Amino acid sequence: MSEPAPSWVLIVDDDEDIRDSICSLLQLRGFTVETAADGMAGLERMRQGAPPALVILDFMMPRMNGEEFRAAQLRDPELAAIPVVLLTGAGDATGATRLQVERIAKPIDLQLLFDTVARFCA
Amino acid sequence: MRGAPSPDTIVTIKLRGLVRGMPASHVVSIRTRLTALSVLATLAPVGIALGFVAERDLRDIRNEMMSSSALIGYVIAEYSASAMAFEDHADAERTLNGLARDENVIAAGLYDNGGKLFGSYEARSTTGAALRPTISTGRAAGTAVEGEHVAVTQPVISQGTRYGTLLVLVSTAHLRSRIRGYLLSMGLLGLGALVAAGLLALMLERMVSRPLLALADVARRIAATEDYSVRAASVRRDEIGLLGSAFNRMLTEVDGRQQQAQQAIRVRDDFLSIASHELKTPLTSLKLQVQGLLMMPPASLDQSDAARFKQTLEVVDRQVIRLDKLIGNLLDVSRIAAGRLVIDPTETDLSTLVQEVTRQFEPQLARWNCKLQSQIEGSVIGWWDAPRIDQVVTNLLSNAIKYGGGKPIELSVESTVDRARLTVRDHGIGISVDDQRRIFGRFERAASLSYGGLGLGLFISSQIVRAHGGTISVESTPDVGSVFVVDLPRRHSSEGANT
Repeated sequence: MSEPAPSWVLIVDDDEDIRDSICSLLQLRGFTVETAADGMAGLERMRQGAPPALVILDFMMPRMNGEEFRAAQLRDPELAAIPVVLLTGAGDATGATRLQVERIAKPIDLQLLFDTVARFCA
Repeated sequence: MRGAPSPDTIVTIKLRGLVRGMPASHVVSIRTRLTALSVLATLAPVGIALGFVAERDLRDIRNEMMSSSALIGYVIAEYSASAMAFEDHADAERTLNGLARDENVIAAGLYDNGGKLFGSYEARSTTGAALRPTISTGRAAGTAVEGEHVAVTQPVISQGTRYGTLLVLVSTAHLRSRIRGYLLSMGLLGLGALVAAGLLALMLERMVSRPLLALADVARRIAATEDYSVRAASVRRDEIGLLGSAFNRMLTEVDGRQQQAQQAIRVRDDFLSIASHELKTPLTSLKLQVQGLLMMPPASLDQSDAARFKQTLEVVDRQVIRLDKLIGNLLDVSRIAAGRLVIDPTETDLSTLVQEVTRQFEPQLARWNCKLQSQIEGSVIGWWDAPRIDQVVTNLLSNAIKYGGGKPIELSVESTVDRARLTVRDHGIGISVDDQRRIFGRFERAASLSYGGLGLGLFISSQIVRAHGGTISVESTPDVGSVFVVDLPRRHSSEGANT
């Protein structure tokens, strides 16, 4: 596997279809994307090579959920500064508020997703 | 016999009296009634007995006094007759002085036939009861009570000749002191009865009133805390003890049912929550695919195919949005039921928000050929949960379109220093007064089933508005239209608790 380009996005979501949809749509838009199936895998991927410009994080995941992922990320000084956007169910804003990160409500508004990613990956 | 009511009629009349208003005896506390009853029960028989005895006794004393006074008068008049006949003043005084032996005699006087004092006697202790120097010659013989003493008037006669009149004044002090004694006894008895009644009432209260109040207290505590595990202390084996155990048995039953109900609610909420989440996940994926295809259609399609492709995808997209809203509503209901509806206020411009929502409704309004007249203030800034308020505006506007029958819809946003007001008016089928009362309830709907929908929108909207410290109200006339007004404080006092 070749080393990803300097500015890339990490998608952490346990749902394969959602993960792959976001991945392929972002790739179609020209972004460089990597995926991870849960928080644990996401952290491992972030520690390999250059860190991502943005993490798109699901909230409810097995093994390590979004909240645990965020806590672990903040504990690691190398990763703490990486911005995170949380994917949450509509009206379930509390998770994002608690984690003090931006949120995108599910079902995802594609334009909003593209705009958000573009903001972080110049 | 038309005028006399039958016993049945009397009972009916009394019952009617009870039904009309609560009888006075139900308003006075048992404690007061017990005290009053005890006083009555103690005082009445003793008081009546004492009164009876006193009356007999005082009458006897009075009679005895009258007859003994009359006897004294008779004897002294007899002994004084010769002294008067011989005009022997000294002998008369001697006879009169014999009265000193009777301490009750205050004074005595012999008057000649002209009414002038012939001889007199006054007891040493006498004060102010001095004999008059003359008496009326026409004074009738006899014994009578005059002021504070008994006056005996006895003619002095010897061998058929009247020489004068004897007047003896006998003190009634004895009788009066006896009366005072009885009055004091009655007073003491009354006081004693009150004390006894008080003690009796206290005892009765401990037996009846207090345990009942304790039961009522337990009931009140349960009502306040909804803690059905509380039990009434029941150690007695009498009727009140039975009531206590019956009360506790009822509580056990209620507690059990309450727990079952709560468990059922928990299971249902959990199920709703999980089901909604599970339904949302594939929807997210589906929406992403549809949006992706809409944005980047396959390059191989020719123009007409591309148009049909786009049209089909738009239908799919709309249906996905619709499905998503239904699921969102179910999820919200489960959140509200579990008390987990939390709002997350941020600085929000209501005017911008409402304009964005109306923009999203443009295709739908066009389909219904429905005009929307908006009067929106330039900028109305407040602390609100934007997605939640979006939900409220969306709900009111989609209802206005759904039930507005294609007639114009008027929408306005106004503000004061500390409040914002959103008004949505339609000219459609309207809502009856009865329905207006219940449309904000869960699963309630005013329109016929043919209009579709779960009956959750207004319930969720009202809950969201309430969570913001605001109010939602409706005014409507069937076949004329409805006006929904949302009134929101620009900064809610409990806002920020979740941030």
